[in-house]
Amino acid sequence: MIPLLYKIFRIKLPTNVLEEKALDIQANAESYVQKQIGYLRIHELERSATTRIREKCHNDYIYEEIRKKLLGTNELLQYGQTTYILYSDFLKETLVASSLLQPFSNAVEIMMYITFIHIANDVQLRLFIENSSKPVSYLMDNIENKSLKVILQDYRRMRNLAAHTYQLISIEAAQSFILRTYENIQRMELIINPSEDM
Amino acid sequence: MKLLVCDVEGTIFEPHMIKDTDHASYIWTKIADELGDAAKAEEIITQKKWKANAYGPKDSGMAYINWVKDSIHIHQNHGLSAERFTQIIDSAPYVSGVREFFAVLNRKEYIPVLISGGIQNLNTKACIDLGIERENSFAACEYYFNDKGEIDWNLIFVNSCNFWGKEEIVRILLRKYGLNRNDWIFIGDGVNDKTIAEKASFSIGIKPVGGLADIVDYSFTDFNDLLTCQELLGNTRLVVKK
Repeated sequence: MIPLLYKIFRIKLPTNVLEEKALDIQANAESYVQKQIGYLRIHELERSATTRIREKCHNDYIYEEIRKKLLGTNELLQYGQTTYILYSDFLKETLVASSLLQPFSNAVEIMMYITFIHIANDVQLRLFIENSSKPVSYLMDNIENKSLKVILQDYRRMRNLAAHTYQLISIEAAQSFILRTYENIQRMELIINPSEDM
Repeated sequence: MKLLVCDVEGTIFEPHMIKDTDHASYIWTKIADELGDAAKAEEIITQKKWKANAYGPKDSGMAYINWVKDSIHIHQNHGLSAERFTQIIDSAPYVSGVREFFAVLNRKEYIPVLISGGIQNLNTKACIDLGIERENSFAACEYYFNDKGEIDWNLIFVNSCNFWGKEEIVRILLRKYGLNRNDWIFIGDGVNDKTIAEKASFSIGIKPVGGLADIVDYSFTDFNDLLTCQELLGNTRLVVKK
């Protein structure tokens, strides 16, 4: 991320100020992501999903293909948040390309794989392993959970916006999209680890 | 630390009623009213469909979302413009005493949270005016407008934060802030708040309707009335004296 920040700021600022600004942006992003999802222990969820797949999948190639889809939620969010802060707080842009939101959409997708692997029964998981090239959202449709249905419809629309259209959107709309990303990830964690009744 | 979970329409903002219905909200009915008789008639039809479970079982995740989508289409089809929408949001009246209450809210002990089945743009007004973090504000959708001043459907993401969805958001926030399951107070006004009020260990009704008064611990006509209740304020330390 820092090289990108250097590239953008080089025109305006001397190197030492540049470095300070770049580090500030990165620190702000890390702290924000931590505040939103730090309590979820995403890395542990990624690890336990990987372990369950390893137990059920005996084909090393397929296992490796699935494993790659289960890692990087936190990193993607930090990357996306850094980019967002760069454009909103430092460059003071009022419009951004919707593709800037792609890391957030990808993070939700990874979390969907993680959630599916945690909550799927053995039959559903075997079907997933046998059809590992199919999008997880396809298999999620068959799981009866009202929260998941809401997340799925959100995810499909967000993915279309971030990945399949070029559209300039307001920085406020981008922020709203980002907040919904965190909300959906928080929802999925609640599906994996339901809290005791209130 | 506790969450102060507030419903928005009818609780923070005055409700808006369309005659001939027993449905009250600020934003949905107000917009339909502003768009004219045809829009108003369509809005009433959506309410009847809701009552007849035509959008799916009410406790499902998708029923409310389907109702909201229908309502958004009414706004689109009847030409809701950015300018008119902004006017409606800007002119939304607060319930008496809301500003005074939030000005003295004990923020060292309470995190204010807004959860609405309405439109985020109205929540955002309250966030700015009342000092509530945007990330603690949840609504069914948010409106953005394209260059022509029309609702941009690509940017509409419909949320399930009404009925059971309100409870889900409270669960998320309790976990996010490391709080226990009883560390929250709810303030609401209407029939769609009954489920969440039942779950709250302590709840308050602001001019409660639809049976909510039977569930909440305290009922008030408005926030000025609430601010005079020394028993409540003493027990909860909701406000700080200036």
